[in-house]
Amino acid sequence: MNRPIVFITIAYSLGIIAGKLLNAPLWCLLIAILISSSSLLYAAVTGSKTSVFLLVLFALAGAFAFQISGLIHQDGLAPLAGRGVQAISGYVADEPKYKENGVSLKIKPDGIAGGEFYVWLNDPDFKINYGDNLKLRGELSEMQTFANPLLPRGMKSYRFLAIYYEPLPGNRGSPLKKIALGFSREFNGVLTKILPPREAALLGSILLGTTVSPLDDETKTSYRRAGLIHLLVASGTQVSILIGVCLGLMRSCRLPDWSAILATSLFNLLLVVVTGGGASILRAAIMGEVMLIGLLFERQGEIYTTLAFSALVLIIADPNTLFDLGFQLSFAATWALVYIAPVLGKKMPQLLAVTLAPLLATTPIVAYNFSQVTPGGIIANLLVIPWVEFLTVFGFVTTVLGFFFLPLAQLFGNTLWLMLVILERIARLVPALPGACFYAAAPSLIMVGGFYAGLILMVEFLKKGGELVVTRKRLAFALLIILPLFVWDRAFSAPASSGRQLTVTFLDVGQGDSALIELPDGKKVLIDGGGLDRVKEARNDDDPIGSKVVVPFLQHKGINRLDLVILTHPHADHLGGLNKVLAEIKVDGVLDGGQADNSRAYERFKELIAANRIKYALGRAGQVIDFGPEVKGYILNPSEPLLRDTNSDSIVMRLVYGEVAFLFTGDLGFPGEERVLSLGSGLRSTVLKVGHHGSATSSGGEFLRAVAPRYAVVSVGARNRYRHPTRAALERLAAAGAEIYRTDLNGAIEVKTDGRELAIETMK
Amino acid sequence: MHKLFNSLLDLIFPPRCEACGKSGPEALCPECFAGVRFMKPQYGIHCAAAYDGAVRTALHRFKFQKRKRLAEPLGILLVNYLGQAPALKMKEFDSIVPVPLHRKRLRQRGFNQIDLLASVIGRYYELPVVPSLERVKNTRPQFDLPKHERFENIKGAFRVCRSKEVYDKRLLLLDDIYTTGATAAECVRALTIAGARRVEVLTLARAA
Repeated sequence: MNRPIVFITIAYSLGIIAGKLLNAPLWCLLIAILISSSSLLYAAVTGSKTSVFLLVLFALAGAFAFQISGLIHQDGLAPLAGRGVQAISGYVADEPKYKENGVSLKIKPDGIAGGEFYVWLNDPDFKINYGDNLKLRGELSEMQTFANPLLPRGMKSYRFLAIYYEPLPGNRGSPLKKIALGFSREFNGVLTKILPPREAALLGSILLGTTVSPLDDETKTSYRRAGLIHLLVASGTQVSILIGVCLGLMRSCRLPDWSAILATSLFNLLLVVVTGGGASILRAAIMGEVMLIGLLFERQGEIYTTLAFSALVLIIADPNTLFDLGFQLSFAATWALVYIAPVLGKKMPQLLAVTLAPLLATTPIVAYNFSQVTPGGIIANLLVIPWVEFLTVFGFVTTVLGFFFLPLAQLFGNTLWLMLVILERIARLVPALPGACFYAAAPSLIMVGGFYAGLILMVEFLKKGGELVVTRKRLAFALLIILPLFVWDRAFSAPASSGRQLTVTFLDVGQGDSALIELPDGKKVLIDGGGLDRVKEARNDDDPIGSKVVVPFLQHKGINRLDLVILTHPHADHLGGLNKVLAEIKVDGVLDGGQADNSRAYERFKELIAANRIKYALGRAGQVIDFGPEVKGYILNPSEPLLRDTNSDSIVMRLVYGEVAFLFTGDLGFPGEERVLSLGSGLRSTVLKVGHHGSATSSGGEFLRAVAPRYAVVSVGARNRYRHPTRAALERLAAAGAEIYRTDLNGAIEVKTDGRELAIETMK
Repeated sequence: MHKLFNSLLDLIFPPRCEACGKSGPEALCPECFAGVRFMKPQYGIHCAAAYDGAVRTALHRFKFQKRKRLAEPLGILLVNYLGQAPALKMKEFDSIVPVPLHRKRLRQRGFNQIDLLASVIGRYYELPVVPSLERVKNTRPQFDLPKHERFENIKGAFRVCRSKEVYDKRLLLLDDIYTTGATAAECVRALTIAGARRVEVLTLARAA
């Protein structure tokens, strides 16, 4: 073994993964550690090979460390949440975030181990700094999380509703962090003097990451879609460049080596502190430090060992880092530059090789986490990589210059501005190219592993200098390897749909409605898009339910196109998230209830339909939608003349597939139910999406008798202020003999049917 | 303690051949070592190897990247050369005189590479290494200059500082690279004036 650290790191990582997957009891692990260490001892004494036992021991240590880390993390706030009004004192744990109508603070409460919460104060003039002590009275509650298939559950976090707040004397911030915050503030201050705000934030992110200069989600999304997100978040490369520049400067001052190394190390530390120490920065910083220490002891690093060593330091410090997206992307990209790029460089231009290699290595990670594949990234990076390093150094020098002599920096600012605008253009235009960015169902872990195995095989093959001659034997060999991969993939994934299957997923969108119908012939229909009901005047399409739940869910499903979107009625908790859907995903047609509404969100909905040339139709009782063989959608409500009651004018659709029927009712209330009954069409359904989140004034007895649902789904948020679902409605549903599922208790509810049998799966 | 620390460093910086980068415990791997082209003496000047390939890389790293561990294999290279050079009988010498660096340069680099090489040879043949020369002019590096300026550049750069150790002694002058011979000639001149009985010149490499 020439690179012991590489093997140790791999063993330790595998151990962590095994610890996560198997979750073996600790005493089991301890016994295993005992056994392997005694075998190690035995092997050492008898003089046989110890390396295998050593690696096993490292793997076990990884598993052990991972499980211990889960135990240490404790949630001290849980007992306090939902306890009514209480007084809490603590200090501000992060830079306050000022908005035009108030300020958001992260509070570390006193006397509570493990836990921080956020508080929003409706006072933009309230002067408070990081580290200041604060006294609060109010209610602590758990922040809403959503349990949906394919989407991460979201970290448990807490929010404090303050009715009284008072700053207390004293400040408890860490001096290091204060320096970092002060530096960030100064840095951003200079940037905004050199450049317009947009470009300033962009350059700030490129130089020191988004912790220093926050960027809006929309910009981040467009860079992600262009395959350029590494410029904004993974500033590891920038750190390496800056360290190199610093060392060069120090050495050219003819200082003795040790002092140049010390100074550069301090600069390195400063960068880590200022940038907030994301995994990518830490990787670069540790690798840089290894290089510096090597210089001190007249040693030279070996790149794989250095890379593995920095990974090992990070995962020993916190085993969970291994599952950190930034960690994975950063190491994959660096590994690719070292391992793949030189080999590719022999077959193609150098520039293409260094662009392609990191993209190849990071694609599975992005696909797995975002269901996103960005072939356009090749173009975007080819256009950007040749000059982005110059932009970094030039931008940094200009900003530092701005600290001392602003006018000159402003002069350079013009050039910077031009470069940044070009970058912006590339990030906006490339994803718009056909096929530049698309969504595909996330690959399974086995496929990801297979991809990397294939990649390594390819590189090894190219290394041997072999021309790719496809002989029958080789083809058969390749197929022998690839085919079982698919078989295993199938074997491990959920029982495959037997072709003609219809799936309805009632999403967990908190208080609100959203359901996705996947038809047997592959068509996709979305009914409502959820939305925060407190955003009365939802501006544009920034409803978090749309951007954080519905759109990511569709993308993770690999849905690039919706055949039909149905808006039952334009209330915020049904409409809010749809605007993001229309903006992000190609939609063929919209079926709208057409109820009168003058909200900004609805206006925006209409604008998006016009802008994207989406077919638009009003849904009216009597329409029948042909969803392919055997599947029909019958529209049962509203009917002319409308009732002028937005809820009761909801679109009601009965979806029939073979012997199974679904009834989607929107927010239908008693008047609407009467109207539907009076029309006399068949209502009998297997699954009822209960009207109006189970309010008292819907799901009347007569209506339920006509529907006679076997299953009732209530789409409702936990602890909502309407106190939905009501006991009255639940009792009526129970009396009608329906088995009740609730999104607040069950999370998302997935109903699968082949037209006869029905299977229900819940997320909680 | 020192050993433990070194093996810890070995773990993070796996030892490699300084010339070809292949991993292995030796500073100069057996292949690189075996690939060295030895040279025959010319005009009474003894140059061990041609200044190319592994020797060139190794010497460069030795001097400019401060890989002191290269002193050992490069010294052994010289010893190997001496073993098969009948004209130079080591028994006939009283001491080895390394070509010195100027004070300032020595401080910058931290060590004199030629001293280190000399001590390897000295240890092998049980000869004392006597730094009896001193560089009094901080000349520009010879490799920066065209041939005709080199003699001018180096003129008067050396002075004998321990004349007792030179007078009537048989000396082996050691340098790293021999190009035009300007440096060696100047040293030999200084030593001869100081009364050395015999001075022979040995260098590690000979540039073409």
